[in-house]
Amino acid sequence: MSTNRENFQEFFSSTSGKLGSILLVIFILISVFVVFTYPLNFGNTIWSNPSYWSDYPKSAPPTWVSIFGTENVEHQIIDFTSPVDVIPISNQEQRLYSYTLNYDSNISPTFLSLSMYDVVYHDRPPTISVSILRPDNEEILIYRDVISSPRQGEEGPYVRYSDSPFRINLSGDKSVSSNLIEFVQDKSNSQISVNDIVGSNEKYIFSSFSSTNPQEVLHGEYQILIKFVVNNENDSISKIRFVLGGSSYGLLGTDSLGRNLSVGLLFGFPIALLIGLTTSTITTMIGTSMGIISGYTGGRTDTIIQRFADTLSNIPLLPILLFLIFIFGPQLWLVMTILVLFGWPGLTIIIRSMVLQINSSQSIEAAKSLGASKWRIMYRHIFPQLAPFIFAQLVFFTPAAILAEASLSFLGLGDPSIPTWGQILENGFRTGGVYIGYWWWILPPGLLIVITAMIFVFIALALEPVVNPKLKKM
Amino acid sequence: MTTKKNKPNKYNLVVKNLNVNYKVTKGTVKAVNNVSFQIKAGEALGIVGESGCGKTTIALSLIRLLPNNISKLNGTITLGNKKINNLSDDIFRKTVKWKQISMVFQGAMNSLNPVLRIGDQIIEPLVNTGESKSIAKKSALELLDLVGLSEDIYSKYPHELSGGMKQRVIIAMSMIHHPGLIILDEPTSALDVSVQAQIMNLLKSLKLQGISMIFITHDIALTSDLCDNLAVMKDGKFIEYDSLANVLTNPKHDFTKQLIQSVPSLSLSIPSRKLPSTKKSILDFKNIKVDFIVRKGLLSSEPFTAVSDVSLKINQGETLALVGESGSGKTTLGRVALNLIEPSNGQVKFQGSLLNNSDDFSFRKNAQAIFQDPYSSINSFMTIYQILEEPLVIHNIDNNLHSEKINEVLKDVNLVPTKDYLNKYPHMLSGGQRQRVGIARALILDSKFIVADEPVSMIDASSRLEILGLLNNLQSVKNLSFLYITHDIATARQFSDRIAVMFFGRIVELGKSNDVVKNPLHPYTRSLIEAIPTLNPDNLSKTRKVISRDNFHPSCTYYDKKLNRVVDYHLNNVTHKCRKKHPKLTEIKKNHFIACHL
Amino acid sequence: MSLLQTLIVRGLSLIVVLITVLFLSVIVLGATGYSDRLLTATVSEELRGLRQSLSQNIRDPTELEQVIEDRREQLIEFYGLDRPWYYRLPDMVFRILTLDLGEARTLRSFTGSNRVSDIVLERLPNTVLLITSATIITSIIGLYVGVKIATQVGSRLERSVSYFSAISYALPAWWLGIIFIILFAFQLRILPSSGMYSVPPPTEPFALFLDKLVHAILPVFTLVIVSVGSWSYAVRTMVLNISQEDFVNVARAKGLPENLVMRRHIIRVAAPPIVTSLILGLTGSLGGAILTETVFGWPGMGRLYYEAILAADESVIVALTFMFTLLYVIARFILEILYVVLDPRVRYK
Repeated sequence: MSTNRENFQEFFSSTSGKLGSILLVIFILISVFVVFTYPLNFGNTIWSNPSYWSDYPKSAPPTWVSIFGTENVEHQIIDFTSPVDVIPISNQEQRLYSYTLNYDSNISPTFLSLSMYDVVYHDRPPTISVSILRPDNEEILIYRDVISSPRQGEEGPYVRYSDSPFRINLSGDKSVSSNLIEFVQDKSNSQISVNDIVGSNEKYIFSSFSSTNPQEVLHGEYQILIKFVVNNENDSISKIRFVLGGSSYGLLGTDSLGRNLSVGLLFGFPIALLIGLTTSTITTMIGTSMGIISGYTGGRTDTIIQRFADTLSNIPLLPILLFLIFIFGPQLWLVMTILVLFGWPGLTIIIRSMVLQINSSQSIEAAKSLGASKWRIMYRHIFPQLAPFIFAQLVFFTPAAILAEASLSFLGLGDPSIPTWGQILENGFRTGGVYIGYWWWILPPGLLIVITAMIFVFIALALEPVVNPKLKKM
Repeated sequence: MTTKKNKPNKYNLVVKNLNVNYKVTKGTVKAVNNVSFQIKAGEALGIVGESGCGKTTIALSLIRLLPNNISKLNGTITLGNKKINNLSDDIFRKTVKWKQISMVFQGAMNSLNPVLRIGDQIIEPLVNTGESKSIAKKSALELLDLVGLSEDIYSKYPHELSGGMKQRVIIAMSMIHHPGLIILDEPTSALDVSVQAQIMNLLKSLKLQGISMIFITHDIALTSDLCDNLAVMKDGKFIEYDSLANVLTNPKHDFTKQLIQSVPSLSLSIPSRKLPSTKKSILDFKNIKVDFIVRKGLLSSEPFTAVSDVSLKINQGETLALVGESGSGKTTLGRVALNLIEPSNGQVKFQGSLLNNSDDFSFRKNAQAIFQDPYSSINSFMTIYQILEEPLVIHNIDNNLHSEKINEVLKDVNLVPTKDYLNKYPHMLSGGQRQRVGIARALILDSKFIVADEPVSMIDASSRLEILGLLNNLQSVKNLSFLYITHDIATARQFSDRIAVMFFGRIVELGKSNDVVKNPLHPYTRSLIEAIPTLNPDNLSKTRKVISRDNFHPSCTYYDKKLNRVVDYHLNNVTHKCRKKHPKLTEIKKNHFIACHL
Repeated sequence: MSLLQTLIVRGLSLIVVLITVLFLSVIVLGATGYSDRLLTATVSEELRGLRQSLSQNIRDPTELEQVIEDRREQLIEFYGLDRPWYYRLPDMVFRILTLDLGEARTLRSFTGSNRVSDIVLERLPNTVLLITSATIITSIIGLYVGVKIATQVGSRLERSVSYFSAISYALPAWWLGIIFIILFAFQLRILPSSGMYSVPPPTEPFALFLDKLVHAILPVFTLVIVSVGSWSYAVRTMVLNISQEDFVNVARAKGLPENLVMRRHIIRVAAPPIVTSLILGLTGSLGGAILTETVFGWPGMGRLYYEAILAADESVIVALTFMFTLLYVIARFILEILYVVLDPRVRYK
């Protein structure tokens, strides 16, 4: 037998041991980061909440794809919080917000949107208007609206859009199209109707109206001008957000709901580790104790445990898992419980056969004749001999649990309140991502699942030489 | 070859300057270092040495089965008048392997393919050279008969045979091509002494047919039964190589002397140990019977009687040796003595009071055990201190006394200075030292009764006598009583006051050690003593008269199944009572009992 | 114990497994109210049919309603809906055993039937075809590669296979399938991405066969890739274990040619554990078929399971759970028979 220190050295001397450990540390660090920065109910309040993601481009690939020459529009969120100018007009006050951007992409933004946050007014509702000053000095008023008036019996000050912002999709709004139509007809010299341009307003706003290429974008400086007209100087708006939808987003792109995949994938780290480690730890604990008790006490206890384990281990896992989850509903703890329920028997059967061998060894006979109690024998004399093997089993079972959960999620039985990699992948698959080519939606979650599983396989592989000679000796 | 079918080819083997080096992680090992020897037709050479001395490597290089990590292999091997070390592997395989040189490997248990029938394995080399199956079968059956096995063995599977039968099969198999030379690598290790003696008899008879042999063994005593010349090997070299008689009578090397001395001699007279004066018994077996349920599938099970109707007293301060071969029930009886299994029948009294499970705990404090295997009997995950402390913890001994007691007991077993050992783990100790730790553990509770089950059989020959001496010493100092369980009647005589011989779960002879060994009354005891290998050049011409358990009818100790009659090699007046009823243990002489109708 | 007895005992214990699964699913169904719903749906289905046929003969609406109401009560009593679910356990088990699970809610068989047994049984051959062909290919490659690398421990090939086998343990077949679809069907455009036939399928039988073959390539390939590595490695280990046994050395000493030693004294002896792990792999991929078939749109029972989950069609799910267990148990039983045939030690013990 070698000492612990030698075991450690042997473990870390192997490439797979080193690689597995380093990756595991990285994964744990990421998980810790996520646990401390993400809200607990991330799944329900953020991930599965479509309005949270409305200002994100839909199905956008990662930004770095532009390296490969794909035409790209940067996603821009422009927040207006303080006006550049305040102009008093009679008893009103016009607050002017402005932003200049240099637009040199060859494609127009994927969408335009406007959001207003926390409007408070005292007398009459304020009005807002948005216009864009193009590089060709054309100023187009694209949007104009009045904040909703006081309801009957409502007392001032009137608070609007404080719970959730008021958002308007400028690309698909018909009033925007109506505002635009005259300009478009004028520029393109054709009789286009409102219905023709609604849904792609942004294209016309940014169009050069070239006769050769109607898709061509007018490059240069664009100025976004927002006028917020109030009737009382105490009226306020906390934030106005103007979004130019990009054609790509972030490190890992977005899904068809506009969800930032990197955010969802990050959340998957602690979940995957939780599923894998918790399930395998509990499974190993139950499997080990059952196996030791069964093997050492023998008799009727042994028979019962073995019959039970034999039956359970002969049941095909995935169909039963699907069936139970389907009936009881997709809950993560239930998935883990079932994995434990069907996972321990295999280990118990192995452990028992090992215990039977140890039983006949003289160290157990010796402990018995010393008068040691059966719990002492099981804990002090049998368990330590099995410990390295059990630890290796724990490591080896971890990826199995992770993969099982991923498979379930992939079949649409994932817990919707807890987004996992499997679920993200399933969304991509079910949306037809494979056929449409949303590779950024399909590959990263799968890759993460594989890498996580691989970490534990590597560690298990490195543990094998540490564990095995002992097994042979028994 | 067909003409002299049943006669072995005769030729000399000459090996000159054989060198074999192994490549290992830390450099090279000279496994065989410049070894030369020759074997004339019909002669046997014995090679004796401890494990790892290179003796098996010689065998493997003769038959070209060396492992891959060979870094150097040279020397000349001449068979008859042909150099065989230069032959290509293919020619060597086709002409030499098994045809001229065959080999009986160590470990009869694993030398047969478990999924093939015995017959097919015997005839395989013959069939492979183009012989027809029916002719091959005929010669296989002849060989089976030659080695003393019946024809029905031919269509059996290995797991249906006993160890001795398997070894006979392997010997038969090695002769299928009638080779001139058979290499025997520890052919009797792991076999009981009776079986060993029979196999030696068989080999002797084969040698008389003119087959040359190389007999490799760690047990020098066996060589005098078979060998004309003897080589003693150490660290890859022949340190002694001469005719057997010369080596035995005039050993030159110290190591050889040591080996010769380690053979227990029965002829040596040792003074009878004084029986303790008190007749108070410490342990008293009465009509003990132990049955095991052997499961034969889910529904049927069969009882197997390991011990039947044993009554035996162990007196205070005496050592009683329980001698028997494997399966005799001696270990089971030892476990009954330790209250580890409950007898199915009968009762055990310890210090006058009946043993049962309820006062187990106080009994445990007074009765301890020393085990056979120093490697598995102590927990390798604990330090020596923890191992020795465990009994004290279990029996709630005051914590303040632990350290003192442990130091004391380590001194008792000569592990000094004690502080060198306390924090060591068992794997840092030698086998002998570990066994001392095992003894210390048995002593630490000041128990008066100790069951020692083969305490020295797995220890190097050199430290065996030391350990036995230590036990002897402790006994007289501490007035201990021992139940000494062993297969070795020779050491039993040296270490015990009385010997009880067990056979098929019964005690067949009981008496003072010297009386039993010098003047055995029971035929089985005689056979057992006859089977003990002794060092004597005269053995070559002698057949050991032993009776084999394989041929015994379980209901009668002397009923030979194969011959279908009651046999006894020493007495001729056999009664048929033997077949029907088990004899009672009766006192024939003073303090000397046997169970026999004769 | 005799050969027959061994098999009977193993067979019995596998039947216990089957019964356990049956009871487990029935209890789960009963306790959660699913079986009530299932039977109520069956009753209304029958009544609808009755109403249609009766409406031809009985003109009076009140009389019609009366007849139907009587029939309803009869049916409720017949199906035991008037009593708690646990009284219906044996009946329910029997119904599952015979796949008599009424009609699927939305799923239809290819021929248009909505009977659960039709739908399920129609898919069975496709699944069996996929799994057995993948298993046969895997076992042939694995056996060949495993034996080969066992004779060259430490070689580059041996190490590659061991790494590959470790990686494939962490590689879910469904994800690999997706990658293959993206690669072979969309990037290289050499293989169809899903389904079992082209649309429309070719009419000529041989062309139809070829079409099926082409569609089977990707799913079979995926199944083979995920299991062949670990299987080769397992074969390697078993062969290595056996080749260190003494009797192999004896066989070499006997002067037998190396290929005979390998065949008769190593592979033949290693056969029982090899067959065990092969069939265990087969039973494992049975569950995996649910995923693989889903990815490749292969119209087998696995894909049906996925569709049933999406459509929340519980009677189909129950039927499939039973069918998968049944197939699993059958495979295990074949394993037992093979093991007993291959290993004389089991045969006569």
